[in-house]
Amino acid sequence: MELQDTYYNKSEYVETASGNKVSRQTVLCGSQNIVLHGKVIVQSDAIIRGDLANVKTGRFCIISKGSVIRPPFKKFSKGVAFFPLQMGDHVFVGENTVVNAAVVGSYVYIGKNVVIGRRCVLKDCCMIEDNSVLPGETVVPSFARYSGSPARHITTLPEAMPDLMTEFTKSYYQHFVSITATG
Amino acid sequence: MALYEGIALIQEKQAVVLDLGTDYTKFGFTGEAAPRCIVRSEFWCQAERRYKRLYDYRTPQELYDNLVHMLHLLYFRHVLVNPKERRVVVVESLLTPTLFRETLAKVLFIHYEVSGALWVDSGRASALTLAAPVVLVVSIGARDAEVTAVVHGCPVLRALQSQPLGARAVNAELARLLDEDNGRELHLSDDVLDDIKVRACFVPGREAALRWAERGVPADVRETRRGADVLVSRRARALAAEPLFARDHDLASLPDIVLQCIMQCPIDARRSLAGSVLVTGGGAALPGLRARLAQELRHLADQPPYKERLRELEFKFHSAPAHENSVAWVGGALCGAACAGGGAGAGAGAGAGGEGRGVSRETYARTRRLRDWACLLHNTPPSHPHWDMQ
Amino acid sequence: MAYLTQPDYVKYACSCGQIKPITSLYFCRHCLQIRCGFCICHEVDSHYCANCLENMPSSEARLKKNRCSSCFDCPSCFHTLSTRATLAQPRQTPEQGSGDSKVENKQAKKMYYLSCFNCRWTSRDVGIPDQPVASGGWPERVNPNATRINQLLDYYKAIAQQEKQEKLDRERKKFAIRGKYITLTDKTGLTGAMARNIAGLPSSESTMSAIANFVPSEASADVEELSEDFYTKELNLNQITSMPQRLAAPEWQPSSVSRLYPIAKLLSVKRSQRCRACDHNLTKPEYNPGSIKFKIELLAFYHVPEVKIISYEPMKPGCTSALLLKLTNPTGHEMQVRLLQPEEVPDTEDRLEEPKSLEKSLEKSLNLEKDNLWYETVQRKADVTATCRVVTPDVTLTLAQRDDAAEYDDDATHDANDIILWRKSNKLALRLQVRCGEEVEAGSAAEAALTLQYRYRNTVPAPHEPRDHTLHATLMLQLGHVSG
Repeated sequence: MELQDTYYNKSEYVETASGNKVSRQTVLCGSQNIVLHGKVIVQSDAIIRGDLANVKTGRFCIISKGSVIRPPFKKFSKGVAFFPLQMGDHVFVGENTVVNAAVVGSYVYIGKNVVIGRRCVLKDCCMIEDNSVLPGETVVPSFARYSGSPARHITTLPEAMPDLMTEFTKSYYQHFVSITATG
Repeated sequence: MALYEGIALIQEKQAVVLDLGTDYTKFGFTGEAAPRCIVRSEFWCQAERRYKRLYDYRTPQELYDNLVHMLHLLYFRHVLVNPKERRVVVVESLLTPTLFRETLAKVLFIHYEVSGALWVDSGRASALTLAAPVVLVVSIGARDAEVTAVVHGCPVLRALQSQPLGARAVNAELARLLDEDNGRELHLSDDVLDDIKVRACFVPGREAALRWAERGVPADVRETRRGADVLVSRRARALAAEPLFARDHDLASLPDIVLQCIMQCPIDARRSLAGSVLVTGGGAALPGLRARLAQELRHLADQPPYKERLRELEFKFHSAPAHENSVAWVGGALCGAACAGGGAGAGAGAGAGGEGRGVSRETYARTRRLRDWACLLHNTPPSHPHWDMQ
Repeated sequence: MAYLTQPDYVKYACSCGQIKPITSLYFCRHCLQIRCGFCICHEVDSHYCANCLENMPSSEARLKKNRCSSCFDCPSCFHTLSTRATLAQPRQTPEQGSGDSKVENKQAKKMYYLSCFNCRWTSRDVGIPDQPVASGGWPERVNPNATRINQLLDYYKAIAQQEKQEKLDRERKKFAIRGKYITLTDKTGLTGAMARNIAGLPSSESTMSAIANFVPSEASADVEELSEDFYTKELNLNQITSMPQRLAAPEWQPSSVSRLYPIAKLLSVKRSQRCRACDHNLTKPEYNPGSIKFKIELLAFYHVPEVKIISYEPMKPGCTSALLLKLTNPTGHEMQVRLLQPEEVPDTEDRLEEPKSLEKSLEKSLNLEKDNLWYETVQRKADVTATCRVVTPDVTLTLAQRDDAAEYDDDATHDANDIILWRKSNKLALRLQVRCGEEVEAGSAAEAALTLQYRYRNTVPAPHEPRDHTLHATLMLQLGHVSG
């Protein structure tokens, strides 16, 4: 099925020169440490904790309502240290999902109500299904589809995953239209 | 040319051994002491987006698809070898339906292009792990309990016994007992029942079982799971396996079929069969089952139907060099390894094992059928006119 | 993406008769046929560990039983174990006393243990000593039955060997009657032993000894009775392993939690896929485990026009509803598409414009001989019976080639056509009519079958000119349920 239009209130969103659309109802802590690489949508009630460490996303990322992007920490004998969180291009993060990963590759689909544990590494082209919990320090290989709690490798993804994700995030961006805008 | 052939022979790829059970599938390499994987006989069905059981089929075509998916999973997720040009040893029950055998052969030879396959029946395979000349194999599987008398490498087909007294029967009884305990219908899934059975159930001795059957024992385990808070009484734990020993007029309990099998065997083999019992199969892993079976056998052998015909039998039990659930598999692995050493003609015969049941891909492509003990055609000499009618 | 999160609304018929979404189909450029995972040949390409993403040559993988040497899984919950470091004070022996001279000995040493982040199991739980190195060095266990199995193996191999020898001897005897040239050395002498040595077979003496020294299993009259604990002791479920925990280590199958040991992680494989008919690769991944690229990637998604449903009116028995479809041309060449009914497809034979060159036809006949077996047995006719019928307009649509730069051009051109709704670079929206059958019951699934006839430019025979072919793809559309 073709993606349906998602409407938003023009006054609610800020659109940057590089095409990022960020809701005003988000919590962006330490915004000087957050880099959105263009055409990224951050929807209302999302939280990005840039105050802990750098957060970088690629192009065409979608961060849905109520999700939390939080750089991971690691305990050392002397205390804790936070590590930057990197996200590739064409990543979809579903609603009410918490991402504590160290690295999220490109073309990654994370469903809704998912918890990505501390310092996980999600390689390119993987998918975490809705309502899954990925325990800390998991490495999700490419073309793997994980599901459950704790999330397990269920099956593999089609080889065309990069193109599917590109098409999906691009058309999501295209169908993300403001109500007041005309045409 | 001869030298080249020799090299090819030495470098022949290690064959795989496949035991497709109703609940669990055992898969691994020949010559190894344990299967590489024991997994549930189910696969992720992409079209239906759920796990599908291998034995869930209505049409031959569906069975073919199931087998293709299952073998794909085994080859590429667990054992990680190319199926092509590799031999397979299939361990199967003597009572496997023809449709299943033929379809499996089709999948192996045509879909996965294996270079050869060797069919070994589970009774003889289990006996191979002992290397004893005469063995009475009592195999308690997921669905059926089978008793096979293997005398000098030959199963006594006439005496073959099979009754639906496998793990399923235990599960059903456990479900009933748990419903009674909890005073409501629980509708527990098979997984949960399996888990309760594996972790809590045991088989008490004969007297204890009789005592417990009369009066219940107070609850002692509380099983808490998502959505199901189940009370497991000691009575349920102890009596779940009772259906295997429950006698009725058909004389179809587990000890009964063992004795009947002995009774139907040639008279000169009976004593040695009783003195060489091997209890295998995943269902036999229940703690205390072997001891209970021994008690029941010794008790029943003195009772009316058997007393006159089976005199003064002394029951002795083997312990196989493998876990109960993989005994038949290990036998298959031994047989496969011995045959491989014997050269390309897999029929060289592994001691007490396979007698020329190996089929190569070329042979299969030509004849398109398997040898089957139940088929009259294969029990007639090669010169018989039957063969011409084919 | 919709392909992963939604049910498959549009499915294509593979040449083997399976009906699958376009994402799980392949397109063989040599046979010009749609293939799927069911009718192609899968091959193991390379082994790698999914956790540390390191390649392992297949010979090494075979040696290590397909398990990674540095990564472990939790035996309790099967999640990957993490290595944790602690500082351990080296134990002081009393003899050293005050030992001012041994200051460096007192220094805390880094020790490592394995811990699960999911269920908090640690290697200390089962008494595995901490290791001084971060990776590897964990104690390896051997199967308790391995020695017995090896004895059995030797025994059976010896028997098989002897049987073979006897058979040979028998045959030799047959000939020996006629020939007079048997020498004893052949069988027993130096030449025989050397021949055996060269062939790598065990010498006949060892064969004999293996058989002679072998002890078959002894049955015993006493069976291990059930331990009293079962009758008297309280059951502690936390001490007993579950079935998956046991089966994760088929060689040991521990029944008590205290005997759970870390499981070396099973490797994963990269697969390459091959067309059964022509033996050409359909996909071949790059060697690097972290790479998502392919050296060869002949997916239907890149070669066959993709159809998506935009929207449709609910189907009613005997009525006509509107259906909006989107067609996409994924290739780099312009494409002409016609819509047909599935039954209008001409037979396979006339469809392919066969190259007339001799070698081509020779190759084809060879191929046919080779793969007939599979297709004869397995090929099925795709079941494309449908409750609804798409009214196919008799027009030829032209789809522009894919142009990545055109993505940013947002303007759709609206054709003044009653079939074409809009055009956007390589995409095209169609308005079609679907007629639902009269006697279709309300509530049953509404399905419609449709065939695309498209011109495909094949660029594969490099020495020749690129050649255009007319190909067909039949697809099934799921249009919800028939309303009453």
